[in-house]
Amino acid sequence: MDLHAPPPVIAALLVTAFPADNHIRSRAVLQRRTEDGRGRVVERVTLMSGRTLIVKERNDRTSDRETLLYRHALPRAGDLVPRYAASATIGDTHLLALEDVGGTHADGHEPASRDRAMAALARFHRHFAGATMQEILGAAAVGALGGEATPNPIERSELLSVYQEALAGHSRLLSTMMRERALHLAGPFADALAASPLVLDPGDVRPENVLVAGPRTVLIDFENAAVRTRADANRLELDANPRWLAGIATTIAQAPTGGVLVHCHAGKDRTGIVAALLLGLIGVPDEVIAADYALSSTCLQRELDRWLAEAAPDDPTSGSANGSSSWPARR
Amino acid sequence: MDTLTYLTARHGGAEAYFRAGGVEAADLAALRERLVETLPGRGIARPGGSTRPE
Repeated sequence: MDLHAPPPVIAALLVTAFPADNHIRSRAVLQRRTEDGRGRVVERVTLMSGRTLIVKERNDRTSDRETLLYRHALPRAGDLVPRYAASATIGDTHLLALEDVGGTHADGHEPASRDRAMAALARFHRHFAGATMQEILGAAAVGALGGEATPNPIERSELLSVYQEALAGHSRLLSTMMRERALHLAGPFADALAASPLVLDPGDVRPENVLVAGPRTVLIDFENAAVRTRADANRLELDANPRWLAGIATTIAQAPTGGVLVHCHAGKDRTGIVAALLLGLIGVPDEVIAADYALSSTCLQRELDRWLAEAAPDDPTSGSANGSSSWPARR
Repeated sequence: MDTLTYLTARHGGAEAYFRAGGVEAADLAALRERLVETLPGRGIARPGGSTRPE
């Protein structure tokens, strides 16, 4: 194989297409579909491999919401589209609930946007709040995963202590607002974790990352003070999600003969990280990998333009939507 | 620091990263074998690729 030639085709497939109408072709063994009173799909849970679970909220408004978020965020240089995730383990199974929800300015001044992001998170959270892992996945699936229905190995006092210690350690890195938010959440956070059937990866329990703590789940804000560029976000992705990415690798390795499709929403960043790791594994030079990654921005410009064009003109989130449509730093 | 440099400096590269994340050696070998199955003249097929110039 000539490693300086264009990267190889990944000749087989599996994987993670989140869009509801672009169903996963994988060895998915679990899928939960819930409809609201009007027959709309409001939830979809799909098991991706034996160890990794990807959960993605879908509903009829999701595409519109993402379109609006793009419209809101893109015209402003330096905007972020933070990713929120709930991460947990059951036995050796890693759960990562991904949600792209909202934009906020790099300078932190966009309370209305933050409110909308929180509202989106609240909707997401409702799907899990009060539910046990058995209820979410089903007892058979939990058993098949080798997990326990309600593992709860961490005491509240220990959680609170760990959290406060971590907060103290990070205090110099946190803005006043973030520190206040973290302090405000300390008690509810410990309560939620102590009562939750979900056990967080210890690395995720960082006060600056805790956004919402509910009775049965905790949403982790992957945005933090250090994330200002796509490279920042990618580094955070690598640090935060080794088991998730390893699960993807394992799934591809074990997939039946055939093509492998790795997909996310735009196919640019989450997918790009996966592609970069896979290419790196077989020794493709960094400059070739980087060029391949960068190509998506050009290729997706048409989609970006379409999203912007489709945004409702009376949308209150549109802001200064008449500005540049350049591809954002984060996505 | 760019992402790939960081991957090497912090995690020891893609293989070490996958191993640390729990990928078994046999799966890594299978993955490598799979990845080098090439179709002449084509790049890696990832989304965005559907609109990618050949």
